[in-house]
Amino acid sequence: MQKREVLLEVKNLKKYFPVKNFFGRKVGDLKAVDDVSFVIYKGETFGLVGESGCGKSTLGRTILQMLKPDAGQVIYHGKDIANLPKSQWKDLREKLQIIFQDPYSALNPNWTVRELISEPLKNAGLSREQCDTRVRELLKLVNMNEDDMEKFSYEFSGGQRQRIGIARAVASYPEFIFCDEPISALDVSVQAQVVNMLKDLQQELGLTYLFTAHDLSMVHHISDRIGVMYLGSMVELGKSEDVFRDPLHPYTRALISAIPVADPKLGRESSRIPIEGELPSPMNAPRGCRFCTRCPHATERCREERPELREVADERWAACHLL
Amino acid sequence: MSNLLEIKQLRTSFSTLRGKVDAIRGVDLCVRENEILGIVGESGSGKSVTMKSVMGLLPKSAKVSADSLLYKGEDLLKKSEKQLQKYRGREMAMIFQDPMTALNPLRTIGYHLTEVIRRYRKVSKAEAEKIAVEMLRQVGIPSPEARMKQYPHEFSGGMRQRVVISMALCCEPSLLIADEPTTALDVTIQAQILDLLKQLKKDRGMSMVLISHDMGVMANMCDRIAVMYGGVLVEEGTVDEIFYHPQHPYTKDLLRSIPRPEITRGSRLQAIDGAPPSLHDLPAGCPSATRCAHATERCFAEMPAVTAFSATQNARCHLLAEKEA
Repeated sequence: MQKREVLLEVKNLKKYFPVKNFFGRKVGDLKAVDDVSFVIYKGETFGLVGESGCGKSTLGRTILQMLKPDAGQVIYHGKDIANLPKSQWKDLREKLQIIFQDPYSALNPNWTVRELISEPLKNAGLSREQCDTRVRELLKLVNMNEDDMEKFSYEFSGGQRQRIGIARAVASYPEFIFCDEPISALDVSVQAQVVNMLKDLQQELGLTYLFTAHDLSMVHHISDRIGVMYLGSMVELGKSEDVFRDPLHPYTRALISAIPVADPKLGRESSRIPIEGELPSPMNAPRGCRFCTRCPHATERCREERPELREVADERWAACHLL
Repeated sequence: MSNLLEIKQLRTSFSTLRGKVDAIRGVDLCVRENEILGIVGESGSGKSVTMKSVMGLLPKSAKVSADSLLYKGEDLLKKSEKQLQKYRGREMAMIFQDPMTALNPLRTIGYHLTEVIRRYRKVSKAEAEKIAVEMLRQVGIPSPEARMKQYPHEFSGGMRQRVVISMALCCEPSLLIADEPTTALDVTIQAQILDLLKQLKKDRGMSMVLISHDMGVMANMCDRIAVMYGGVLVEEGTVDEIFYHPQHPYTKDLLRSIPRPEITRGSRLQAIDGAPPSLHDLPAGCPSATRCAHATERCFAEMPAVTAFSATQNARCHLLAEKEA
């Protein structure tokens, strides 16, 4: 395998939200992202999975600097962008983009499609004519009509709205897009359209994605590598097919066995690994391994000492004492 | 197996500002004893409205008509509102997608449960509480006595859905209608709730109608599946028939468009072009004609009749009817 170029390197990233009491005094931290390190290679799709509240969105948004990290580095083209002054941010914004979950609330209903898509272009300093040409190009790229330029977002269906959101994200020739549950709000038959479009754009424009979704089989389908998050930390990381075929971490195993397979015969044969209880509150996460309260194999060591994410096999990383 | 519920030619329309909208256009459906029937479809296909029409839970702007709506041999359409009240809750119960909005945030969990129990059974307050605790225990809520005094916000999403299920089961209904019961939940919690529903169905021998758009959930839960599109039942069959021998082009497309990672990883998904039809201007013919690769002129003009393929499987499609003939 040829040497892959690292696009983004996340090092010990932390994002804590202060929790305040009734009088506004800080009483603790909600550790949404707690010491996460990984790399994203150029041109790949990195999938993030985990239950709601595990910190997937916060991690993505912290990487994009939509949220200021409390500690750690995000290295992009050799530069640490986490500690960059605001003045140097403008060019980077064009290169790092996001697609939002809900295309119904992400688009301003008072703006036409032309205004929506040309906003990032105007910021980049394009003239009106240049903007219009580019908007036409972009609409074609996402399989929409040129006539749609003067329409408002409410005139479109969910799938079309999400395409406008995608056109907006790719407008300024970005390198990296954080797809924050881009298909969760769409109908099943439309999800496939959007996923195919994201794949096509990735090849045409050489994009790199960080992709999250509720539907784990969709993440499996689209991702090259996958990171599994639990309570703000990364518990497993590896190639998509490896993680899904042979999960190592007890949490990943339970998570993957819980996916309902769209095949009645397979479903009858397979057995689910039960996972006891529910996600503990991230405000008082367990001291040792984050998963120890629900793990069937937890030992004394798991409760005391936090396991590090380490390479347990070729290109496979897991954070578990028992491996 | 006898039929618990038999729906014949159900039609439901809503009067809106933009005119009359036909949400259900002649649906025939039956629920047998002790089975789980799944209704799949995209948003706006009429899957929830069908079951709400049966329960009589639609707003006044809705007009429900049918040739017959037989429940245990009695026609629900001929019942007065007062008589219908006896069916709701006691005979048929429904649980909804969002467990937060189904519960009153100002009332304790115990209040929710005892209210339901005392309404339908002549028991004292203390007895009702005893039954409520027992119900909570049955749906797997730990330390139910303490939980009775808590408020909905003190429960997680999965626990709230368990409470809603226990409320629905208080009066031991023969038919439980679950409208997207796990859509708002995480996969691990979804698996717990689905297991619970399956177990309850087995223990109590009740029938269930499961409404969902998730084919994975359907495959693992249902005995039979009905596929709806644009207010019409396009195909119906046992779970194996639908998954392994789908007949209707829409069912086939739907199954192809979901990822099966073992097969499809790295390749393109087969998307269905276009979007689900708006109920305001539905085509006169087959509702899926606009998105069907094989549609002919006849498909656009004329609503297809039902073609049977086996004792359990049938579909509405002109092309299949012509092939069979």
